[in-house]
Amino acid sequence: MGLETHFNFMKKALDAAQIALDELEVPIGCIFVYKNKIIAQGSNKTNATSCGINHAEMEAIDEIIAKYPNYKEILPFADLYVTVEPCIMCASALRQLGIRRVFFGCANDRFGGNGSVLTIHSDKLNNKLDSSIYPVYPGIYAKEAVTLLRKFYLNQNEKSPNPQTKKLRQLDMENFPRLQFEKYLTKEQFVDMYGESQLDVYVGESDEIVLQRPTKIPKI
Amino acid sequence: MKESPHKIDFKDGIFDNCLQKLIKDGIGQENMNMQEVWVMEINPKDSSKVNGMLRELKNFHLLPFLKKFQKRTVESETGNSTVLDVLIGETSKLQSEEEVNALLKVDGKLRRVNVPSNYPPTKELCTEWSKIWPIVWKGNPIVQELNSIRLDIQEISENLRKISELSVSPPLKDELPIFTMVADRKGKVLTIKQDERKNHQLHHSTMLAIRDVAKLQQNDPKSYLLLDCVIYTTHEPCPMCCMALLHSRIERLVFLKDMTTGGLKFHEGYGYGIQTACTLNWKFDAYRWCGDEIPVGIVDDLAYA
Ligand SMILES: [Zn+2]
Ligand SMILES: [Zn+2]
Repeated sequence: MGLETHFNFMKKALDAAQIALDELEVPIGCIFVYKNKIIAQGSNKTNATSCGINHAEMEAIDEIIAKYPNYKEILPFADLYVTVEPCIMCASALRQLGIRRVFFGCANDRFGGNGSVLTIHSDKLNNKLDSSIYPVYPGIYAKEAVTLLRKFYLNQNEKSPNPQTKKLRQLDMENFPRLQFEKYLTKEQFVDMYGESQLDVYVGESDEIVLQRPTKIPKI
Repeated sequence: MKESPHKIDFKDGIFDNCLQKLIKDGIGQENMNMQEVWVMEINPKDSSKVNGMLRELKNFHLLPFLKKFQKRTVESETGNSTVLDVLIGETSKLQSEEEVNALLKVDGKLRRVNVPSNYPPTKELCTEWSKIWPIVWKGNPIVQELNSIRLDIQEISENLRKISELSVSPPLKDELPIFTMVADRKGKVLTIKQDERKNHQLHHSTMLAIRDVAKLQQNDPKSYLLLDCVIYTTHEPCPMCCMALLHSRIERLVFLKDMTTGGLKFHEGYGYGIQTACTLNWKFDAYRWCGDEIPVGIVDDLAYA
């Protein structure tokens, strides 16, 4: 699977996040992919349901379990693409379901269970062999994921009776947080997925993972 | 602060011999450790000069809870006089008297003294240890926190017995005997749910209970998630359920049986302590029942509750 495929799938997750934004939900979206096909899509529904646990991942998982009685045979060969790092709850759910891989856009500094707060995906009890651990690959369309979240909080602020200063009312498209990749995956895992050419992103010298590395023009 | 009505074992966080609060950092160790430091005997009138000089000595990292100066009466043929003992710093940093003298530029007799190297957990021990070298007592935040907690032990044990009964003879025989009860701030039971993972691997009792409460409260504008609710559960919830409870803003959780895969413990299993893992947003208190045995149905210890 080339990098382009992952970018395309993450685009679909962004579409799902846009649905959440349109429905005045915190804009996080995801899709599950099995044998190169999208088998479920989810977008965050915590507001509409007044239930703090109806995250995008949970919505999509419910759909899969309802559709496929043999879901336990499917999920160990399925991948998740989600715009924001899964929270601790979803990270644990994915581990219990035996997901194969997780791709996410931006980090979840407050609740992240794939490296930001806890490393639910890779922790082992007493270093025992545990087949339920799974690798995570952050960074694809991270800026787009952050932009959606910013749009949501901007709307919130505008609706609030005491809107904050003008400065906060503008969408910041210049400054984006840099992912600290070593919190989420090893250098080897990174190179395996994104290729040697993007290593400068891993070590923090470059901004983001891009589909096409601009070819360097050799100096004459 | 008023004294706690509970009998509290501060070391293990146990209330009235039956409820143990899971605590990340204990009250501190009751055994005194020692370290060797340089102490200089000076004339009291040199104290401010020495104080200024000590501030400039960056090689030393004095333990902050130890007082810097200690008065001492010295008997001599001409009568009693008062001297000041000054704590200079660890002998492990500067090993010879010459090195210390070169740094200090003050006259005084240097000697090596052993002083406490850990903060005392209680005021009583502070008084005791201060005989060796004076310690500044600033209270113990864990002790203060435990003292401020009020628990209705009777109500808690009754609720635990209710879910215990269900767990021992569960209505759904082919599902796991894991039960979760949600009570509101007034103690009213909102729901009790059994695990139902046979057809949905994530239908743990806690997840089902949270969704049930959301449904019940859907048309109640005054309610917000599980705010102020107390959760009673038979088996320590898995990380997914613990985080679901944190997302739901619960007040407190009480469980009966430890699980290897549980998400609440700080010092065993995964050691996640999820109830306080995201303190910027929310946290809740978690208690384990450790009183008279309240039985629960059998669940594989490695299962996720
Ligand atoms: Zn989540
Ligand atoms: Zn659970």
